[in-house]
Amino acid sequence: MRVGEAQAMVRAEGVGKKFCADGRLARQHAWTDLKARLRGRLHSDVSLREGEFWAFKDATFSLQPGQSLALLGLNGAGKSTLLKLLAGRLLPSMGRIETCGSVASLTAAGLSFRPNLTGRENVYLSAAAYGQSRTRVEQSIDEILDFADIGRFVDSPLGTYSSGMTARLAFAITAVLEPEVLLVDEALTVGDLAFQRKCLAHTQSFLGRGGILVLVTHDPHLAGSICQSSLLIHEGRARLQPVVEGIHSYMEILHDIEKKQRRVEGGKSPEPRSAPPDRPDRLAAVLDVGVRTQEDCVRSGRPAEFFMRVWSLEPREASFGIIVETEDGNRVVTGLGNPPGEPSVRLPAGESEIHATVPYLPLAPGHFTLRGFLLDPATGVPYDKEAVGYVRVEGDGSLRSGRHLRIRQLAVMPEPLWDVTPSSAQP
Amino acid sequence: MLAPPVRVSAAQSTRVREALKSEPLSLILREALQDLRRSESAIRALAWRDVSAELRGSSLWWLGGVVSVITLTMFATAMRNAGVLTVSHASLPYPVFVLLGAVAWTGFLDSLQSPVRALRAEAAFLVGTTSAAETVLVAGLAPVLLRLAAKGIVLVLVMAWFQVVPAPTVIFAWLPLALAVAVGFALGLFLAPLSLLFRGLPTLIDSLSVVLFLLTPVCFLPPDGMIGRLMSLNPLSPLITGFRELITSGLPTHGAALAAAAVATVGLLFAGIVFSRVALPVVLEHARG
Repeated sequence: MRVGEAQAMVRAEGVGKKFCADGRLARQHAWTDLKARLRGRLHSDVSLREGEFWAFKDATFSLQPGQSLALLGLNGAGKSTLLKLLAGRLLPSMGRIETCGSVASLTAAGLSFRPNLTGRENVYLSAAAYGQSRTRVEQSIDEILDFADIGRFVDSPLGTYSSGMTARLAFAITAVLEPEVLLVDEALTVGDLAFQRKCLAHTQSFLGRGGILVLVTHDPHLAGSICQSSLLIHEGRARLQPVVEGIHSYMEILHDIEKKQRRVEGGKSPEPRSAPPDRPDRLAAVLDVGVRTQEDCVRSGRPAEFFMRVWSLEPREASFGIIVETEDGNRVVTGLGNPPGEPSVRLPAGESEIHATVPYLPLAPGHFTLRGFLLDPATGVPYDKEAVGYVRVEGDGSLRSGRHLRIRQLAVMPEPLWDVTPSSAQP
Repeated sequence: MLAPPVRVSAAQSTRVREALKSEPLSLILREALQDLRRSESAIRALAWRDVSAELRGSSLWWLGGVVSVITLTMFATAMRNAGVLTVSHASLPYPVFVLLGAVAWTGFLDSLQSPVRALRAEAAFLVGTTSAAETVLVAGLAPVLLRLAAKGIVLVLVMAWFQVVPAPTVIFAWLPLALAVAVGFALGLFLAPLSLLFRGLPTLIDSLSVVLFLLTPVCFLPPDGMIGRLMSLNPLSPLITGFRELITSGLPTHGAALAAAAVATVGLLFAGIVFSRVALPVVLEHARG
C-alpha cells in the first residue's frame, strides 16, 4: 500500500462544490469561464453567479492508510458529488483535495462497462482505465474471474449479464487489482447475500492491509461496522464526526424529516386512531401504541410502560404484540407481547388498554418505531392493520448513544406482565 | 483524471485538485503530453475495443469505410462522362484521380468528426473512471485509421484495374495523408469541447464541410479565377495534391506549400491539444453540473 516512498493518503481542505440548476445559465457561465481561462484571467471564485447554488461547503478531513470514512446524508445532499471530487471526475469550486496513491472509484452501476464487450474484455478495458498494464491484468485475470464467479458468462457480452453479475465483476476488478484508495458508492450491498459477505470481508481485510476507504452509504449499520469516522453532509454543510456520533446525527435528521412529513400529511401524527373503526366488518383494532414513563421523557435504562390502546366490537380473546424497530427498519425487539400459542388476553367490548411496565428500558438513546398488532389467537390472523407509534429514547449515561446498533441482536427485554384495563370511554 | 487541474508529481504520485483557474499555456501543453504518455495502456485498450467492436459489429464493417469514396468516385466519373464536369488531369485515369483525392479528403473529414463522436459516446466512460479525456479523443482515431486502411485496399485494387504504376515516391505518400488526418483531428480538438456547449455546432460543421469540399482539389484541379485562388489558399490543397502526386507521378509540384502545411499542421495540433485541455474541464463541468 505504498507508492514509491510516499504513503497513500487522502486530504480535503475546505472543499466545496457549486452547481447551476439552469441549463441555459450554466452554458453561459461555462462560456464565460472558457473565455477567461483562455485569456489567463480565470481565478478561483467563491461567489455565486445567477442560478448557482452550493451543493456543500467546507468539507475537511484527512485519511491515512487503514482509515475509512463514511459519507452520510440524505439523497441529494452531495455525497456522490464529493466522491466524484475525490476521484477527480469533478473539480472543487473551493478548497483543495490531495490524494496520494492509486484511486479507484466503484459505483453500484459498475465501472462504466461497455455492454457490447465481453466480461473478459471489460476487465482489460477497466484495468487500463485505472492505469494497469496489460501484463499486470494478464497475471491477475484468472483471480479476477474467480472472485467475480461469473462462470461461463465470462466470454459473453456484458449486456447479457444480470445487474448482480455486473456488480460482482466490477468489485472483483477493484478487489484483485487493489488500489491504494477505494471510493465506494453503495456498491458493497450489491449481489446476493454470499457475495455481499465476501465484499465486506474483503473490504475489511483491504483496510487491514493499509488501504483507504471512502464509503457512501445510507446503511448506518454498514457504516458503523466498517468506518471509523463519518462526514455528514446536510443542508450544504459537511460535519466530520466519529462514526457513531455521525450515525446518531444522521438519524436525528431522518427523524426530524419524518416528523415534518407527518405534520404535512395530516397536521398531526397518524396515530392514535379513533374508535369505533371505520370499517363495519372490523372486529377489533389497535388504536395507539407507545411507551410512557413517570418522567418527562422516556429514558434509556429507566422503568417504562409499554401500552396499546385497542378496540373490540365485543368481548373476545386476542393475542397481541409489539415490534420495536430502529428508524432504518431493523427490528430490535420482536417478541414483546402475547403471541399466538401462549395464553391470550380477554378484551372487553369497546376501548381498553393493554399495558405492562418493564423495570428498565433496554433501548439505547435514539428514535424507535413501535408497531402494535392484534391477532386472532386461534388462527394467528391480524384483526386489523398494525398501529404505528414513535418513541424518542433519551440517554442517562447507562447506555451510550449508538451502542444499540452493535448489540441489537443481543438485546433482552425484561419480561413484562401485561394487564388489560378497560377505557373509561365505553361505546 | 480530468486533465488540467490534476497535477501529478512523479516523485510521490500526489494529485492535487483545486478550483479551475488559468495556467500558463506551456505548462498545460507539457502536462497534456505527460498525461497522454501515462495513458498509453488506456489508449491502446480503448483503441483495440473500438476496432474490435467495429470488426465484430458487422461483417460488412469495411463497406462503411469504402462506400463514401467509391460513391464519390463513381458519381464524379459519371458527371465528367456526361460533360457536366470538365476536368484536365494530365495522364491519370480520372477514377484514380478522384479516388486518390477522396481517400485523403475522407481521411481528413473522418478525423475531424472523430473527437466530437468520441467525446459524446464516451461521456459515461469519463464519468466512471479517472482516465484523461484526451485518452478517449486519441483512441477515437483508431476506427478512422481502420477505415483508412480499407480505403487503401480499394485504392490498390482500382489502381491495378487501371494499370497505374505507382511512382517510387509512393513510400512517402503516408506523410501528406497523415498530415490531412492530423489537420482534421486538430480542428476536431477545437470543435469537440465547443460541441458540448453549442449543440448545433456539429450540424453547422457538416454544412461548412460541403463548402470546404468544393474548395479542395478532390474531383478537379484548381481552375483560374477567384475559386482557384481560394483553393490555393486552402491548406488541405497541397496535402491532397501532394498525396496524389507522391503516389502517381513523383515529387510534389508544390513542395514548399506542402512543407509549410506540414509545419502549420504541427502547430495546429499543439494548439488543438492546448485548447481542448483548457476547454474540456470547463465544458465537462458544465455538462455534469
